[in-house]
Amino acid sequence: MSAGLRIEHLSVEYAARRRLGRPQGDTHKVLTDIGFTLLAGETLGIVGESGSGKTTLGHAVLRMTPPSSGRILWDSVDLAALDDRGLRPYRPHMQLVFQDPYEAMNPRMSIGCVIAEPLILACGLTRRARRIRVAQLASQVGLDESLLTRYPRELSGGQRQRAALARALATKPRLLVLDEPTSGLDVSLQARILNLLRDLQAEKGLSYLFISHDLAAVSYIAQRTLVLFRGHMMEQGPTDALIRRPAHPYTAALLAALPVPAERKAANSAAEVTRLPPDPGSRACVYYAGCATAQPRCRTEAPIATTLGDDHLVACHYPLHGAARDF
Amino acid sequence: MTAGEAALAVSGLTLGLASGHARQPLVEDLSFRIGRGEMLAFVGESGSGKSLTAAAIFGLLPPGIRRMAGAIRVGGTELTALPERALRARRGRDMGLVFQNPLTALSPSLGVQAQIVETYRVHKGGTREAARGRARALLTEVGLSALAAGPDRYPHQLSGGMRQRVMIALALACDPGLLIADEPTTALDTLIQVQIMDLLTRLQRERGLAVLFITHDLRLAARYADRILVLYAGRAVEEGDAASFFIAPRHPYSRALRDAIPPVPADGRRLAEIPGQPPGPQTRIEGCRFAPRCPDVRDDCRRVVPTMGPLGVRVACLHPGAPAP
Amino acid sequence: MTDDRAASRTAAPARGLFPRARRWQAAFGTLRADLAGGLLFLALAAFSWIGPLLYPHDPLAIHAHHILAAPQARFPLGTDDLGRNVLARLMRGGQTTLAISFVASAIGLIAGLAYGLVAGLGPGWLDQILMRLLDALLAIPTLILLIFFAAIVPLGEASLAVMLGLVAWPGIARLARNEARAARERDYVRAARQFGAGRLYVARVHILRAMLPLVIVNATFLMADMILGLSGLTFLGLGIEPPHASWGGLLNSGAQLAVIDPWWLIAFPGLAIFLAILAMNMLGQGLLARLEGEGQA
Repeated sequence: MSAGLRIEHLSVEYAARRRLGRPQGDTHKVLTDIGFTLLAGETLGIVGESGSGKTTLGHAVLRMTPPSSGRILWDSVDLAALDDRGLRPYRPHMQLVFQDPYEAMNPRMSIGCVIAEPLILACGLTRRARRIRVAQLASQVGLDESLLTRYPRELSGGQRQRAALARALATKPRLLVLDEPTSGLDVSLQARILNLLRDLQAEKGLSYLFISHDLAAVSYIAQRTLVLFRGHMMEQGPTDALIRRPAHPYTAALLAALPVPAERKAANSAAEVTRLPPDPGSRACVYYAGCATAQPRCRTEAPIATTLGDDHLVACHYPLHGAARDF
Repeated sequence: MTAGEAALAVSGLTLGLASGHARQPLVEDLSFRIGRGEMLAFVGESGSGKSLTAAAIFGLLPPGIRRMAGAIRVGGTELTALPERALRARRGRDMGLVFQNPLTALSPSLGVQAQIVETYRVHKGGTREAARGRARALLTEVGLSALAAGPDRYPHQLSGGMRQRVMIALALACDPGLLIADEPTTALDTLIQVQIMDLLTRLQRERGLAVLFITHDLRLAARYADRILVLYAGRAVEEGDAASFFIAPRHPYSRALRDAIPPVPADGRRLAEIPGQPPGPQTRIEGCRFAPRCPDVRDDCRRVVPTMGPLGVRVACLHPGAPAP
Repeated sequence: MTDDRAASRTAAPARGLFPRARRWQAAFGTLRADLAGGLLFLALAAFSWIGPLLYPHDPLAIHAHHILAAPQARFPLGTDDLGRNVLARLMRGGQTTLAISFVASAIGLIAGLAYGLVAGLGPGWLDQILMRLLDALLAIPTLILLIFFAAIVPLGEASLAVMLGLVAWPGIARLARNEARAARERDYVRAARQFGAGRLYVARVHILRAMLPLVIVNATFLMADMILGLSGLTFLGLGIEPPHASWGGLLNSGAQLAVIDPWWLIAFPGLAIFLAILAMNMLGQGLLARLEGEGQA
């Protein structure tokens, strides 16, 4: 078994203020002690709301954001310990599909040039070979070849997302970090992109880190899921187990908030909880203020991730043991 | 359909480009009613004309787009016959509007309480003190009691969910009978989305408010609305009871929309895709507008324009699926 | 690039709600200003360089019997106080003025771009230092700086061009620095870095490409400033030295004889300077409008 990507105790923090390049004052922790394993050919869903640090996690894995501590093991090489030059040979292995494909494309470059860019930078093909490869990449993602001469602003949202995918695939990566790849798209387009991602994965044995706020999309594409809240891992495990038997109250709240048409207007556990947030710097659980089932202990002691068996981890003193959620 | 006068009745609404360049109206022959205390969800993808319809009801069509036909009755008054001045007065009083992004709709330089006070006084007059009391009551009603009691806050000091609550309070400032909510939760986090939808349904019940809920999310519509109307390329394709809609949509487009949503938990099946793209206003399509993408298309679909019929059979398809059992 | 043809091909016309209005705007609203400005400038350049071929008269030849002659058949624009042909001098003066201004703008553009790119793409501390330096430089009035330079450097066409260029670059530098700062935070730059692009590649392909149009537009405005600056300097007697012809110098000799009021010595060079500056400003404005239109589409 080849463990593609293994993350251990990854933390990212930003200095609150910088002056002449030097950090000043307190640091702000964006990610705290995250760990997971992503096998080759598998998808790990990263679920979280805004401010959960999910985008930062994706960037940190690719070393686009420097981690403050922890290890990023890729084929047993610790990427976190490498400098820019040392990283260079590994860069083509892993690519990012940005949240907003339009922002991620130079508006003055044609789509063909956008897709060709990584080929120029990382592959060093001849002009002729590049042209063939771009056409091939475009057809892989279902992008009409006539669109290659257009500019990003002339494409629709779905076409742009396909172009972004084609570019990410150009270096023949083994890992794709997909940051909310379907969030701006209509339902029918979302289905097409999700299917395309599944097909590409089956065809090329790609690993995906699928970052999303949408549990439904994650449940469709990810074998395993990690739930983030304010930079902390709340729960991770096989997607099916996590959805059928959520152990963390936060996961349960996210699931209850999913608009499942069958449960019309049912009361749900996402009702407002008006508990005062714990003092900053205290050892409370980060989800304390929002938790529906918090106990006094949660205010004084942060939970440590414990295993529930089956590779299912939860960071909660009082995990939910209730019957499997009925769908 | 509730008996008596509907809070909103739209019939034969057709919107098009003023310049006449489009080959196809942007919204064509759209009719629907919303009763008091009822929520109707408009479901459609971008470009289906759902937001344009809301803009037409509110009398705020973007420049260059014109109402070519149709009647809009709000609370028994025909709006299209009113002069601009009278219409403007009615806008804030008889209907409230909630946008997707409250930050662009709220003034950044005025406290939120002050904004509600201003809105109230513009439409209803009265003393500043009375308006202030009204603003506090409204903020409490939308679940912002802390904001009602404490000092006034600027929009940028509030969270996204709180801003949307303020937006709703503002829309309700003059006790309108109709609330138009255009993608009110699209920009919000999942947990907040539920809170805002719960708030809207509570207001709908408690105030007997008619709500036109515009969304691209069929699941949200099915969970919260009483009825659903699906729009495709400017035409209504199906209207039905929300509870049964998701189980048995009859129009092939509604079915395709439903089948494109990933189920939770996953059932291992591949998501259904709709081939092609919706037609723009420049494309003239004979017959059913969905025919080029329809999996069940037959010969007559390309000739005959299917209609919804009067308020009875509410599916615009020549060969619809079986009705819900 | 894979698709050179694709890159050079202009974008298809934007499809908007009002195609006719947009087409009208595209044809007249923006095209008119930059096209007219460009044509006007070309006309002035043609007057200066091709003109002498069609009207071969020595601008330095002195016609002692025709001192301060008013415009007439033999001297279409009259003569100056030494009896030199004003039309011929205006043509030669155009060559000097336009060429020096052009070279000066180019120097300002390149120096400004380089300085701005280093500040914009370098580490934060370097940016701070370079920008404070620039502030200090900008605090000194341009004319004072020019007079100071003119006092210590021997005057000649080359030294004038360098001098003007060195005074001109701070504006371009600041613009380039700000644009580079903004561009390097863009996702497409981060994407390129992820593909293994170095700083130089990013600067060349993405950041230059993002800011070049705006910088070029500003260079046209700079050229207008240079024409005015050179003429002003010469008018003050610090620029191009007699007997060489320049527009500012012609204007100067006219002004000195104001008592006699030789209007042709003031009107024609004044008109030439005015037209040249107008041409550059129209060109710049037109290009700017076009650039903004592109951004909106």
